[in-house]
Amino acid sequence: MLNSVHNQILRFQVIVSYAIIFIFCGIPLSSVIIHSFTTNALSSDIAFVGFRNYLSIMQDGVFWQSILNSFILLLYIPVLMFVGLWVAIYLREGFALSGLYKGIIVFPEIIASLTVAGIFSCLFGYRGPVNALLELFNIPPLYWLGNKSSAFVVIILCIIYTSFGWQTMIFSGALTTVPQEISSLIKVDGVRGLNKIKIYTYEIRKTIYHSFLLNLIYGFSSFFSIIYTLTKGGPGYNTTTIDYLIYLRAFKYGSDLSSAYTIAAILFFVVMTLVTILYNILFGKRADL
Amino acid sequence: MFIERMIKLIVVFLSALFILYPLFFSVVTALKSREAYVESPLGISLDSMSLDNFIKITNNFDFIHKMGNTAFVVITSLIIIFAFSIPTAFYLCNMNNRVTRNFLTIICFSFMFIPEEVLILPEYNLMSKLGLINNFLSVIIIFVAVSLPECIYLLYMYFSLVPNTIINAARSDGATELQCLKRLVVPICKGPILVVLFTTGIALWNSFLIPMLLLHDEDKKLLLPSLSGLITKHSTTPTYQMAGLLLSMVPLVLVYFIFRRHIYEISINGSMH
Repeated sequence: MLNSVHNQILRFQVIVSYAIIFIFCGIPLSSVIIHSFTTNALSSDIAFVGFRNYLSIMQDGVFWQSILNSFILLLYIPVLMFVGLWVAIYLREGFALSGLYKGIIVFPEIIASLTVAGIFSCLFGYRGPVNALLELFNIPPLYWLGNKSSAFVVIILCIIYTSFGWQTMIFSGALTTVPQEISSLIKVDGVRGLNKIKIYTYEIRKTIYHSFLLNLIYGFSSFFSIIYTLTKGGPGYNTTTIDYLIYLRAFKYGSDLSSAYTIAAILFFVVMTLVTILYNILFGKRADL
Repeated sequence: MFIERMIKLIVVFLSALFILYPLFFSVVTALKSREAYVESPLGISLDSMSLDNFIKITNNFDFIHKMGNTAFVVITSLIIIFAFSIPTAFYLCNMNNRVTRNFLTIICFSFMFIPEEVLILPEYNLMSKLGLINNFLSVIIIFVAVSLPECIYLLYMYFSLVPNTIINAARSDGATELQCLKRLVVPICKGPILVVLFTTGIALWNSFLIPMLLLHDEDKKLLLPSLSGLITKHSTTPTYQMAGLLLSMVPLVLVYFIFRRHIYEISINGSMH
């Protein structure tokens, strides 16, 4: 008797969870996809227009610029992963105060990226310390955030700041599975520098693949608050990434809902492709890569 | 060998400096007066050090109220999320039908990665149709809906590591499913549950886009959107900004020191071998 009551409770909770996911994630998602194939999202008589929205997005210069900007932003991945692996190898070898060091690099994890971006916008402000430092070397002060390439440098530094600890800890977690014999061999044979990194890269290649994919997925979508705080997508559309463009089209001046829905749908398809690859790496036939 | 050591020292030192300097800068700047900052943004001026900026900001900005709002929304969401995700994850583990189980976990796995920007427009429309704009309930609902897939999935991964024999033994002793969950699985997986709780809590506390769009009233705003307003409003007074940013970090830093040991576990388990 009790058993069946308890089973009912359990089943009820499962149904409620999936109902919440369905109503507040599933339905919005399908509405994004449906709206990307129909006319003006606000009017009540919705007409199917096929790929017309997609075609008009394709002719939109700002859209292509934002795609390009999203790809520029992804430049943080090689830097982050390389330095992360490098430091993780040092952590495995061990050094004085490495416990304190771990505590320091994990710390940015808990700070909101908006807060980090706020600090960085002061650091790289016109009257900020970076310019003051440059002045010591007689370099004239720069408008860091007023210029496309230097704005991207600041944004990428900010992203690396927020993700460095996470990436390093993932790699150093993966390195604990590498057998001790390999480290001993490296030591005995005196393998140095890049060669050492190469060997470890090979040993933990699966973690590297999937954290590369995770970074790609995050790179397309998780740095909204950084861009919002540092540049607001500007100057012009120079640092507007694809996720920021959705926000601009949906909620800002001259909002254009059907283009916002279409861009959202495109971003969804891109992310889903990456997620499928990630799923295959984690659980697919190549899981034992 | 000497060069090797030097490189190691330099890399470790520079990366630690890269992380520490912005934090150090924000503390030093928050303690300065505006004039001292303009004079030398790099320097530390011991004589003009004061807590003025902090006092001003707490008086003008109603920080405590906004933190209270955020804490209310985040804690309520966390309670709902865990009340549903723990039993669901357990149920998924014990499902005999493999096809349904895979289907349900793949749903969670996919929704885990869908960017919030994709869903925000229809979610906003839905909430305005329900008349929940400017109501904490709207943010709580979306927080729960967005975090549930991830929590269910991660907890499912951890729960499936619990040996089946233990649970079967309890079952044959007459324990119901709910008792198995409460008396066995939850105590065994206490660490991972705390870890997932901690990461979800941090993510919700730090989320920005959803509360910014859904809560407009000044007395209902959450911490981060109002902080963003502060950054824009006082862009010429970095001393003031830094004091605000530092105050907003305080609760998280406290939580960090309580959970410090578990954070290492998160990162190591995060690599999911």
